[in-house]
Amino acid sequence: MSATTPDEIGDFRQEVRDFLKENLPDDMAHRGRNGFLAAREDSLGWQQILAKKGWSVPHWPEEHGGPGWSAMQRYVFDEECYLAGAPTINIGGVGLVAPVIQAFGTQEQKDRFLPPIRNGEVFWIQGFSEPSAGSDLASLRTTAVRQGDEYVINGQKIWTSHGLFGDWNFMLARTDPEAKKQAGISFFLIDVKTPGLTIRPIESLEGSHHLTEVFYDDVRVPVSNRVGEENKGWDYTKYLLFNERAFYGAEAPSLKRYLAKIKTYARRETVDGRPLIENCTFATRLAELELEVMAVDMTVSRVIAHGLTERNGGNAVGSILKVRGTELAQKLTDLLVETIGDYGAYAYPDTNEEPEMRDMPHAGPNYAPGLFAELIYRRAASIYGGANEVQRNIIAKTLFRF
Amino acid sequence: MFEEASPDLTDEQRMILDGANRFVTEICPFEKRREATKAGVTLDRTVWGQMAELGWFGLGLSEEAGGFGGTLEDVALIAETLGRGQVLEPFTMCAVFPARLLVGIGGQTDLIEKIVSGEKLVAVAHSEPDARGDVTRIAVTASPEGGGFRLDGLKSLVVGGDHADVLLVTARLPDGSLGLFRLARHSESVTTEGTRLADWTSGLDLRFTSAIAERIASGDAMAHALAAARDEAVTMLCAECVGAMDGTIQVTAPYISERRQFGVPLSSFQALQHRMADMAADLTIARSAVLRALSFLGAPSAERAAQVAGCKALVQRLGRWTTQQGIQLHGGYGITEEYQVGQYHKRLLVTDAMFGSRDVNLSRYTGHMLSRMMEAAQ
Repeated sequence: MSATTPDEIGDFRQEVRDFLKENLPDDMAHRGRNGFLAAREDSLGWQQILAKKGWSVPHWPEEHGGPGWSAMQRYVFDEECYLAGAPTINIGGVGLVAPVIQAFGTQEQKDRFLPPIRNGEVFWIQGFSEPSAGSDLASLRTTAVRQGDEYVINGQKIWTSHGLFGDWNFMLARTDPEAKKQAGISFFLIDVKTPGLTIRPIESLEGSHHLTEVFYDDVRVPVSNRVGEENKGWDYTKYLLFNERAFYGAEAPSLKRYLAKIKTYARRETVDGRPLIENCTFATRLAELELEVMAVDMTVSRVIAHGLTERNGGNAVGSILKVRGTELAQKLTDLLVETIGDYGAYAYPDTNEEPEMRDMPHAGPNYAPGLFAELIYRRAASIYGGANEVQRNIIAKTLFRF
Repeated sequence: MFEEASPDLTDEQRMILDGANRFVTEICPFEKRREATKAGVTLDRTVWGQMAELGWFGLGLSEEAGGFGGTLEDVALIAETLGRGQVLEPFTMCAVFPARLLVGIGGQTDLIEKIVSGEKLVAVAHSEPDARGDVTRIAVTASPEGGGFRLDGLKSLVVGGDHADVLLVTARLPDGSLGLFRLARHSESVTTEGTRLADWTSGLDLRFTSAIAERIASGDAMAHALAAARDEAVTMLCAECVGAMDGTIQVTAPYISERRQFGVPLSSFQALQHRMADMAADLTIARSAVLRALSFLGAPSAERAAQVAGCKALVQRLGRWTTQQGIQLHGGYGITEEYQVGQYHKRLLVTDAMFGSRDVNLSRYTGHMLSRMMEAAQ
């Protein structure tokens, strides 16, 4: 880690706060603070605002337009953005596919794909899971058959987040059906407007449609859109999944935001004429969760400050953070919904999906919409990014060689 | 397996850790511990002297204060290693705690020097049955007598109380204020009740009956020094617990790999693999909680005390579960005295009782969280 002193971090934090105060639009922040997932125009719009300042890709190396921040600065930046209610950016693009292109892509791919990601011009969606390849991702069956300068792709993907926002799709397909599971997979970049590609929404428990299915019916993809070597896609995927777990797994900033929300609402909500927070059982539950969140956050700081790699036990720490972080997100969103009492039982429309509902009056306190949706969304946290049970397999195998 | 993987350590800390690990394997192996516990020896002054020779009792104290420099992180590293090694000698309670308390009140340089050199063993009699970690809750009385004071009443859970040369005792003065008193342990007016603690370490009741003592501090200065030393000691006890969690995992992993049932190693069962994964996850979180508490030891007293109490509440919860699972995964052998794993759990139970149990410390943290919220709301 570069020598960033606490004072410098304090100054940096202030600089970020000042920037957010001036540049984060109020309506965007309002939507960001409620529980619903960010809309496409907010994700990309915010990315564009950040790009003008040169802050849109904090984790990228400087040669690709990163700001050259220390790990601690990046963390502070993420945290301040969350706390201010900034929309979540398109992680599929900035955080997942871009590092793979940077590490394994051709110069032409870098020149073509990286600038639009940096500038918030395109939205990337992931095509990994399939109906019969979830936790066992390597058993995927979608095929890519080479025909001259093209691959012809057939099959189906599922659980693609924000599929309906997508411009480009990074995905895995089997290029060698004879090879052992992991060995015959390649990594492709596909324009979602390519003929034969269709995206269908899945209705989630909370009523939103951010999850989708993607169907490939003789989709023709130029060979130049394959990343790295043929049949080596699994290696690139492991790299991507490691990044995902290590940097996003614990989602520590969002855990802290939940704590802050619970505290704010529990002061306003009353039980028997007294603020909810004065209820001893409630306060103790909250305190116990806060202690664990702070310990998870400290773990993230250790990971960041000391540089985590696959070689120094990083893999297990990534999985440990993923498991404990997602469990906490679930406990916190449970408590968050309990905080609003009766209104925890109400259905609220997702105003990102139904913008016309944005300024309509609704039942309950102004912070009630979205909390239930957030709780349901977080039930997926222990499933996505590799189910927590798979993470436990990884931890046991990495640490104990069982 | 965890230390060598840990990128957190500086080169200096790695040296301290190597030294501490060598001490545990060469001077205090488990077989030697078994011999000591069979013979009823809770504290070996020869071992104590060897710890002093390694410079551990002066670590984290400035040179002006009579120490050898270094940080509290370094001290925590030793505490963790001793916890992992199940060392009986009470490093935290009879070296770290009294030395830091004495440095906090000022003066007493002769005694600090003798603690650091290992020449004198000092026990702090601070607890009483209903104090539960509130070091200001004191019923033992101190009445002026000649040039000194007369102590009367009962102190509980005095670690090292039977082996000490010198006692530091907290007591209440006639005007209601608190004082810290020093006396030689071997006074006829100090009697003991109890024999040892449940994990074979030293600790018992001391009853003072007109025991003559010297007052070495009083008032706010004493209360502040006592609270600070308590928080430092609690943090080190938590580090010991992290060591006990780590030790539990280190003895359980090979055990379930070697032990075969149904024709296969126990470690081939996923239920057991996942249990071990959760134990490892809790170890990581507990270690972070201790590092976080360490970072608050220089904070204003209310914040410091709350964060340390919170750390204890969390570490005790995680540690109790992890050490329980260690027993479970050993099957029947887990509850035998000859296996190491059960000793770790007993250590967790004993440290839980010290300075207030889990719930008491959680309430302390909750109270602080609420008052911070109220401040923020204004």
